[in-house]
Amino acid sequence: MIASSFWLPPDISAHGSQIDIIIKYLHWFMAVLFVAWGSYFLYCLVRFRAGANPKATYRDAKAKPSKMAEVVVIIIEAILLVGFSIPVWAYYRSEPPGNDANPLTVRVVAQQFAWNIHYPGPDGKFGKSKPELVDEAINPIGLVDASEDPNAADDYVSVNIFHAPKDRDILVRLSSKDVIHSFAVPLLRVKQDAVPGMEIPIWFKAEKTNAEAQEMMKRAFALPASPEGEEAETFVKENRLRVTMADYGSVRKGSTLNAEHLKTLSAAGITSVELAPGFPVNIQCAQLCGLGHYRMKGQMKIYEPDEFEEWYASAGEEEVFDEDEFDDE
Amino acid sequence: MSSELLPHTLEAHPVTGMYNGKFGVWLFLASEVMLFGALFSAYILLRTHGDFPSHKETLLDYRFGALNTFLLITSSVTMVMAWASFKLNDPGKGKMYLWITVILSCAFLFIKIKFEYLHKIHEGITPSYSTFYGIYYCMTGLHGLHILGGVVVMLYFLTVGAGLWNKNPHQFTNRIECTGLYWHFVDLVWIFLFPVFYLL
Amino acid sequence: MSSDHHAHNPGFISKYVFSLDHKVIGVQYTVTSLIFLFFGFSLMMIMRWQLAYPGESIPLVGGWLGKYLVDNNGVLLPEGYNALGAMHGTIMVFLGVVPLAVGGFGNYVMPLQIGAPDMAFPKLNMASYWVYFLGGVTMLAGFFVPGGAANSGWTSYPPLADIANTVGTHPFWNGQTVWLLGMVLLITSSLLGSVNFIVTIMHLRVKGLTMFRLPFFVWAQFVTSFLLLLAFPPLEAAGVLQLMDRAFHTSFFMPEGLVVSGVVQDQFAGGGSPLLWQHLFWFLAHPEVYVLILPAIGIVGEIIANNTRRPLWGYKTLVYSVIFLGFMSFVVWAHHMFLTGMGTAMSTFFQTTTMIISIPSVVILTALLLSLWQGSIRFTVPMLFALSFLPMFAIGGLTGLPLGLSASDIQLHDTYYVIGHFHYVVAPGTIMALLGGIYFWYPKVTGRKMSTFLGHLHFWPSFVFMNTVFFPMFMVGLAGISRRLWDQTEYVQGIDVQGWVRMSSWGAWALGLAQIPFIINFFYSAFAGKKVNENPWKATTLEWAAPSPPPHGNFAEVPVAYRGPYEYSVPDAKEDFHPQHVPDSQLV
Repeated sequence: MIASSFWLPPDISAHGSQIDIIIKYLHWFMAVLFVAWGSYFLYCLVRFRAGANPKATYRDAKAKPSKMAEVVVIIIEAILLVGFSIPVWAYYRSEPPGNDANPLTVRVVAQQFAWNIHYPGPDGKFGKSKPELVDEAINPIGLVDASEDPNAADDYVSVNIFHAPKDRDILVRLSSKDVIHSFAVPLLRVKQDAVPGMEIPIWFKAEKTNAEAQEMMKRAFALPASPEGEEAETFVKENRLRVTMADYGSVRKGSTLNAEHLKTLSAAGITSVELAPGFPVNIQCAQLCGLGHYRMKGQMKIYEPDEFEEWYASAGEEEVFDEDEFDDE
Repeated sequence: MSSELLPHTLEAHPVTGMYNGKFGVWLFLASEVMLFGALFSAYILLRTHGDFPSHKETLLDYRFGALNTFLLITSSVTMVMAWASFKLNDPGKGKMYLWITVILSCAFLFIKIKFEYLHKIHEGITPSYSTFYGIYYCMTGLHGLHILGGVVVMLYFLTVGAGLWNKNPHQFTNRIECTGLYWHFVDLVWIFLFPVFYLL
Repeated sequence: MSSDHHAHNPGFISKYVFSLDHKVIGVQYTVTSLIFLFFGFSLMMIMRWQLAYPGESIPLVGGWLGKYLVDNNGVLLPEGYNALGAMHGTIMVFLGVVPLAVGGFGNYVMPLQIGAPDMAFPKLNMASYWVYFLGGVTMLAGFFVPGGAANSGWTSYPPLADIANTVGTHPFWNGQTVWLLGMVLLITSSLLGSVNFIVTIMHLRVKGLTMFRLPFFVWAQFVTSFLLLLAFPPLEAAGVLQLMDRAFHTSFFMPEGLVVSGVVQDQFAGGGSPLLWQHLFWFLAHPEVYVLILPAIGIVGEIIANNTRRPLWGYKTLVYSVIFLGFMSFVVWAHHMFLTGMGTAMSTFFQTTTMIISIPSVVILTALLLSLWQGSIRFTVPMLFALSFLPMFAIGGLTGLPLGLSASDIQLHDTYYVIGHFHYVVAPGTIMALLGGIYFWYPKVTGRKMSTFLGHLHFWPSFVFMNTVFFPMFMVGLAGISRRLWDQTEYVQGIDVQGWVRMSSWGAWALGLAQIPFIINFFYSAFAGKKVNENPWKATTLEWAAPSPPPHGNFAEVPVAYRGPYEYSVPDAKEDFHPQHVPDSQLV
């Protein structure tokens, strides 16, 4: 994966770098403090061990340096709080900034254990939904019929796949149909609880498409020496989400690496491949929501703006499900 | 049982000005304030959060509430009289006032259960009817349990525990005082509950 | 509210089972909570198998766990994982650490340190233990009711907790309802205990023992008791409301129009708020963090003063910091709720209070570190544990900063980073300190010292493996892995950090093995440990003036306190320690 510092996943959002900077500054601050305390601590243990210092001193040591250190800690905390955290939070929680007059507004309705992405369609208006109309198979959010609410006519609901354009503000009105969930997209630095009975707005802007994110996350893997046996099995299993980034003859770009591929590649004398996740931008549930919490997984599909318009225009007409792309079930 | 007592069982501690039991009861009441405080906060949140009926729509009869308020305030007075009588070394009178307190609280519980709870449940208004009735049953029910607890304690001092008067009248009077403190607190809670549910 | 002292020659039952003696009750608390601690830890060892090797049969115990936890092949079920997680949290906090720190150490040591013959209300004290015991049994009963134990996390957030364990189970004897009943009992026990502690500390101090001559440990217990007294009732209220929601279908935490698995939840009228629970819960649970940590800091203070042979640095500063910490802990609770739709004003308030509360914590840590300066440090077994507390508590405290600032919390909230953070505070922090406390006061309780060799065999592996378990969690959390996932390899980042996850798991199992020397030591030394006099550590506080083990009534003669608690290495004195109870005339 990309050499992002502090083990953070790559950042593809407009506001993410501000969060990352706070995390990095904080960890440097923590590391400096810890090393300073730790060095002093170890020095004391050696210097003032009973063998080296048989008689303790009754009077309290003068603590000027430590008081200074405490003041410095307070000042740094205040700077991080006032200078970074509060403004970033205010920005994150505010309405989308006015520079983008045309945000994409979608409703996200969480449920056990899926994400329903509700698009308003070309009219830009959401149709009403009613709990009693919910049918998990056909109508997961209980959208009313077009005859009752004309706004619902062109609405489109996508389950678990969040189609979105890059470089455009995306306003999500987040709610839940049953219990509390939490909409978390680590690569977008977005996380927000979905609380039933509330509709909470959040917004973000992606600066990379899926293909670009894959490019950021690709990494070369050395293939196991033998295409068969335990080592090869483990290799396939532990990299089951990854697809090749480059064409290797019959191993097509975009396909998931499997045991057959290993044999083909081995036969062709290829010893290392570039792999990246098929769907790099995961939506996770971050709040315990029941037994399927771990598999309450959605995927973001971020397009170039014109590609998105193309998709959006035809959304709802055809339901093509690309097995090879959405392969990790 | 030896008769050796821990320090400050009877005599007040110079700093707090209280004997152990009294101090303990005050601390216990502090935690009770937090308990009912949390429930009143929940009431406020629910009231501001969703649709909550006004008192005209609640079907709660304020006359029962007012009568019960009267009964409890009277019982608080008789409770003080009971303690004062024991303090003045008149156990006969003390017991009488304690009995009156018990009777008044039983009357309170009777009215609450017979004319309010059972009547409402009969009409199909159970706790699940609305959040208003949920919090109403919950808070008045918890308060009723506190009344019941007080009654049990008073009955204990009137029967099984009465023997302590002969052994150590000072300690017995202290216990009545502690019961009284608790009892006034329970009254006070009702004085908040009554307007909140019947009048607001 | 009896304060009668019980008979001097009672029978077995009233001496060891329904005892009114604070020392027996303290030992009962200690042993019971140690058993719960080990049990709660075992649940985690099972969970760590599923995390390290997702979907593989659990070795050794897989076949024994029953249908609510594992499938036919002995693979942990997702709902079983959630049940173990919820019970691990509940057991460790409410049945393990708090009863050990407050019920065990507080009960045994605190009255001795203030020179009292017993707690102010011995019967209440006994009731407190037995209600705790009953609460513990009720909690464990959850594993055996239809549908298995509570599985909505130790935080039991509704609506999930309102509707959990309701389908196909008994309307009353089901996991979540039993959990709530257990909590109500445990809260009651804590309330009884805290009233008793405060009255005892205020009223039963011996002559001369002013508040500022109290050992630091007593101060820690004092503040802890206030936290328990005032923070627990709101959770009790919340527990009652949730019980009503589950048993009578009230809607305190249920908004209207919920649809669970395609079924409209019309048994609830609606109109409630799920966030109400979170406010009530965290109003308790944040002070609860300080309930977990303050007694541990108190123990560390005692051990450090004794083993550096000098007074604690800045005793009054420490006391004021602890009091301030107690106050502030009531106004930080919503930093657990930054992501529930909170606006800028609220988040600014709560992150500011959170930064403020970090200041007394830093002051306390600094004071303890400065106490080492110019000391004469003896590396006894209790001292090793107390010293190890300092850096590990520092890690726990420091990693709270990114979580307390709402902006960085966006990325780290509800990830393994949180798990790493609070475990560093309560496991390598508090539990190490409590273990140190056991080594420290064992000679007082039994009259014998624990084996030093077995102590080292316990300490060093525990120290190493504590870090092996918890440090990798920070990396896992930064990578963005949500907590409470049955299988984190569902996510691409989860596959990347699988190495760290396995390291954690192996660390946990090794940590389990590292407790064997302790268990052996604990029982073996009671019979075969080296016999010692009443003050083997040459300590100054009053508990060491009583015989070991202290008889009924504690002191041969009622002591008088002549000085502060940590008069070590007074200049020009014959001995390097001046006990509190020895008058100046006998010291020269």
